[in-house]
Amino acid sequence: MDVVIWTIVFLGGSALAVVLLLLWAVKKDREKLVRAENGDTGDPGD
Amino acid sequence: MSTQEQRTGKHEVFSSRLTFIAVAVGMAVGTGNIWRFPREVGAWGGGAFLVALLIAFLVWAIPILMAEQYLGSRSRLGTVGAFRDFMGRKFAWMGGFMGFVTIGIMFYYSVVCGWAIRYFVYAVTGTFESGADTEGLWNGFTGTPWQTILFHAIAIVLVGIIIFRGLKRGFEAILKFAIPILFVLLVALAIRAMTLPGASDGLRFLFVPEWDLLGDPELWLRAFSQMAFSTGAGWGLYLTYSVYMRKREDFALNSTTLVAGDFLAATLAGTVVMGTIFALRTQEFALEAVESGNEGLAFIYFAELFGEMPGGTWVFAPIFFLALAMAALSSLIAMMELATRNVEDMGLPRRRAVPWIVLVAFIAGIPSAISLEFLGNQDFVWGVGLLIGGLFAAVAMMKFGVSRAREELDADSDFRVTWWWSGLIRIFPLLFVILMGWWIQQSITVFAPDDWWNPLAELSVATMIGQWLLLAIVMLLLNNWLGRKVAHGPMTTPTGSGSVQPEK
Repeated sequence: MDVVIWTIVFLGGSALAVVLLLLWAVKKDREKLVRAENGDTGDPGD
Repeated sequence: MSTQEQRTGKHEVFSSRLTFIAVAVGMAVGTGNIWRFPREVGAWGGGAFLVALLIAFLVWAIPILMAEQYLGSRSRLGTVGAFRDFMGRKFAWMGGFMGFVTIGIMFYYSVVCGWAIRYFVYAVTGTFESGADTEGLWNGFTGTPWQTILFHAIAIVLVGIIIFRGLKRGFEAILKFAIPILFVLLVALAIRAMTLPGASDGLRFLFVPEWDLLGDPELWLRAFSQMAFSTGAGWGLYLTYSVYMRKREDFALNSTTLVAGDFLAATLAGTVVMGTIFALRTQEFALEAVESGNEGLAFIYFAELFGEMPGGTWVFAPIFFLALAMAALSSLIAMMELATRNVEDMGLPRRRAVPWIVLVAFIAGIPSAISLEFLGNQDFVWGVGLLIGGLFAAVAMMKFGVSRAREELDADSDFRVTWWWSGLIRIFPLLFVILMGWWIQQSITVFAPDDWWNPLAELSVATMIGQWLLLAIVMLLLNNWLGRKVAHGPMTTPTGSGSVQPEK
């Protein structure tokens, strides 16, 4: 049982962390795009 | 500006944030994730080691990666130009030192890529059937110089072609697909491993913590070393890719995601290797495999097992060695781009720089292709030398102004790093002294107790420090030339002579 728990913690946890961080990055980029379209600074373009 | 930028007025950038992250993860994920990580974790307390590793990510890797990203994105130059523009012309040599340490790794890493490609070819031709003599195969291959040199040439030319094509048509185009595919392969292999009866013993070895080992300083030193070798912090590779970063790109979240991706790749690969070994063999075999070293684990002990699992010979062996080759090549691409970026900054266009770099890398890698001892020496010298690159990145921040750098990082980051980043950069020299001191002590007492003073011994202190000193002297002698030769970037205005003043 402890093997299952620790595998979930480390392997599952790292997978979840990557997914959440990528989703957070996408969300932040969308927010910046909206701000840029509204004329604010922060456009991540060239 | 590079010659291309001078001609076109355009600065190439990654097409999206996710592409930048994928390419950066490809830089970090390499053979070490697959064969060094599971050995270290298993031998040093499993989950306890992973806890120490996660702390090492927070304390060393992420701050240094953010510093590298800042160096590259603001200077828009490779390692030499970045250090010149952040610290002053007198310090261009530090960028040269950081860059050449990684280039020194590139010379033998191409040989290692060649091994992975060769073993992929072995795998797709059904070599790993039940009862295969994998030790004989390995000794036969590495004992036949024309073969190791041939596959080293294949690796370096393949990467050269990708780098020749530049960012958009070259490494971005390849890696934005290759890295997600690599993770799919690792997941497929991990599922296969976990479904083998007895795999739980391997997962126990890898993930269940031996908490008492957290009190052993050596666990922490090994965790910090594994982090430094695995994430690419201090190599100058993330600095190089950051040259192509979009303006106002985030620092903190991207660096954190890179590290998380590297950790995920390592835990998947560890699951594959340890789950399979413990499922199909005794604990004694597994421990022997762990003790056998990086190449022994992957190419002898693990390779022996494919013939004993359903689908192993024709499905999982090719997938495993394809994943190994892709991990190696994605890191080699970053190393060659580091070299190319610096040469382009000095005025040689990419289409002329890359063939020369490929030729030099091929020739310089031949000794490692012929002699495993020479390769081991270079791996030791430049691998530990990477720690110095991390120190240099921290020193660059201190010279530039840690508070000033932190303010700019926070302005463009999706989460603020505040005093945490500043504090860690300031104490970095102390961490460096502790880690470097341990490696020197290991060389004297463990690796080369009888000839630590001998510069020709494979793993001696003398060979390590001797080669670093030689590199530092050469870079110092070339400092003025390097400082003049590298083009101006957006941080500098031509002042004729003296130190440059970074623009606000």
